Amino acid sequence: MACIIAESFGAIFFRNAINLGLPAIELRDASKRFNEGDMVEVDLEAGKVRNMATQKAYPFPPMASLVLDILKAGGLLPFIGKTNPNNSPASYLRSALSS
Amino acid sequence: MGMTISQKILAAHANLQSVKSGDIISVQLDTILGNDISTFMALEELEKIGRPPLQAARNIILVLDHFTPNKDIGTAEQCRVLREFAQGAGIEHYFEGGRSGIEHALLPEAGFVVPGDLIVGGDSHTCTYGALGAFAMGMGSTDLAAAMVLGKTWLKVPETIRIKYHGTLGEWIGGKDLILYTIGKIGTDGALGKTLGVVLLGNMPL
Repeated sequence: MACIIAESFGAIFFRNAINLGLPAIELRDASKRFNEGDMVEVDLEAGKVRNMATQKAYPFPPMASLVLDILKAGGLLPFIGKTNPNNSPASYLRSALSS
Repeated sequence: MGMTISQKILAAHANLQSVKSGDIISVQLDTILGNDISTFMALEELEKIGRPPLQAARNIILVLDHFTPNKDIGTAEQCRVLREFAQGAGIEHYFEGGRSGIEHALLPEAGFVVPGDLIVGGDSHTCTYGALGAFAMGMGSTDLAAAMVLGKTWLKVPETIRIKYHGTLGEWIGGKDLILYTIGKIGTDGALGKTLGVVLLGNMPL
């Protein structure tokens, strides 16, 4: 699944979706603007959803660049993993968690 | 349009002139609070991705309050891992044993919270600091781990419900009674994902 567009999301669902790398977009009257089978183009950076069948575009509030980076990385954990590109473990755990 | 106190605090920490409800923003955090349950779970997440260095160690406050004094060997081991983590990661604001206490009482008492602060914590009661004019929210352990590494997080600017209290409090009636009454009216999910703006009128004490 590439994206979920809905009129609203529960707060916890929304946070989990983004943190798992799944774009979730709130769009007013979303259920009235698309018919079954319509192709939809989503531009996350511009904050725009276009119904390719009707060629109508609908704006949504653009996401902060941090959120776009999380989505590009495939989720929050992979994203923060990338902050350690050399993969040199920090010294903060001198003993294994399992010990 | 004017902004609520939540929006003003969030705009300041997002380095934006203004924000409105529904905006999805990235914010710099003043304080990241962890306890002996949530921080341990956050460490397990950080283990999975190769222990990235913590860029926000000086903003982290770690309070071991759920399992201290330790009730058994398992909780003692968990607290030992966290103690070594705090030392190894350079977390200066570390509290346990005789220097500890309930995390949300400790932070204000120790002067860690001032009005206008933005605080996240791995505990659902983190919103306590709203009483001091800060914006504070609880989050899960993966979000806590990310906040510790990055010193920032993302959030959706919440709507605010304004609640006005007026009249006079009866004898032995306090703030706890007021909020329980309020929750009785709006339900436990009545302000889900929102902030409450409290207005006290007339003789209502702060």
